[in-house]
Amino acid sequence: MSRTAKIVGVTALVLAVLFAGGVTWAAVATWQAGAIRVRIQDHRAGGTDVALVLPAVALDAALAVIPDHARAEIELDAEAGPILSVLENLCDDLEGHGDFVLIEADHQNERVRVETKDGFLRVSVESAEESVRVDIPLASIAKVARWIGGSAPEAGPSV
Amino acid sequence: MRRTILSAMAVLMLAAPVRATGEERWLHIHVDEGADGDRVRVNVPLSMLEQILPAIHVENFRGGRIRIDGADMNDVDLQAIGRALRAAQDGEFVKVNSRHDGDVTVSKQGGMILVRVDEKGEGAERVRVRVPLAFMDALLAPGGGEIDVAAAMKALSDAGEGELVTVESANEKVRIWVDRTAASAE
Repeated sequence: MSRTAKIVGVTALVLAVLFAGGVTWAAVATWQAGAIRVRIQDHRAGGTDVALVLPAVALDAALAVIPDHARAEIELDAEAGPILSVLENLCDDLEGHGDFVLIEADHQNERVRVETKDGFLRVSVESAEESVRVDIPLASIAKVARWIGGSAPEAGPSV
Repeated sequence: MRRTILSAMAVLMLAAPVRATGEERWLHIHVDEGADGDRVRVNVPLSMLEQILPAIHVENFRGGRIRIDGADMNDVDLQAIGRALRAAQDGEFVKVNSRHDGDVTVSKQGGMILVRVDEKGEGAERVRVRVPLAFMDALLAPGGGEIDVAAAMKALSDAGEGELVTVESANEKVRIWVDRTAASAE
């Protein structure tokens, strides 16, 4: 085998390993972060079903690439900062309590249920017309609250 | 000796999660408004309320405390009422027997304030309130027209398990209680 062929072979091998490693890392990160899932089922005749799955890592990536000046432009009330802080703490705390039903309410033919399940906040609304289920990783809610809170007036100088 | 210490540490480390889970107390609220009415279930870990409430700063609710505005409250010394309740011996403080409206009793027993209301007539309600004195103390501690809800939740958690409020009528049932289970048993 010629020297050039060896260099090409080694380079191809390194690239293949890097690619495989990158794919594996992305898969692990996606699996660990979970996904935001939204499912809407319209029970009426001719109704449409919608299923949306967004990997939480995409949300993390989006938060990372939004420029700081754009975040600084978010206008929040003075009271929003503490509320976002509460939301962040709440999500952290909810994760530590395992799976449980936080709120369940039945009103006539409609049922609303808010629960934590496997590190997700699950909100389900069931009615005769439609079923809506939203699963959001608690960690993602905390991250978004932390991120938006960074631009709140009481949260100190914006980054 | 070293082996004993290591064994003890291992046991403590293994027991820690069990202890944390076992000591967690949950506040449950159930509301049932008859067959065609609303049905609500709320299950909240008290430790979560203790952490979250002090962080809320909205209008009259700040730092876990609620400011009660209004001329009516200015004339009421909540702390004095709390002190009086604490100092009083066990027994009935209030007893009202009405032939038409119903019976009401307010008493203190074993560190608990007990309220019983048994209404009479159509739509009559049966109310039972059982509140630990420590809860009342913590709630009324700030004075000056403020009540400390966050401290009251801590006191409630420390006070142990049991029924707090039960309201029953022909069409409605409300139940508020504290226990160690996340699931709200009927």
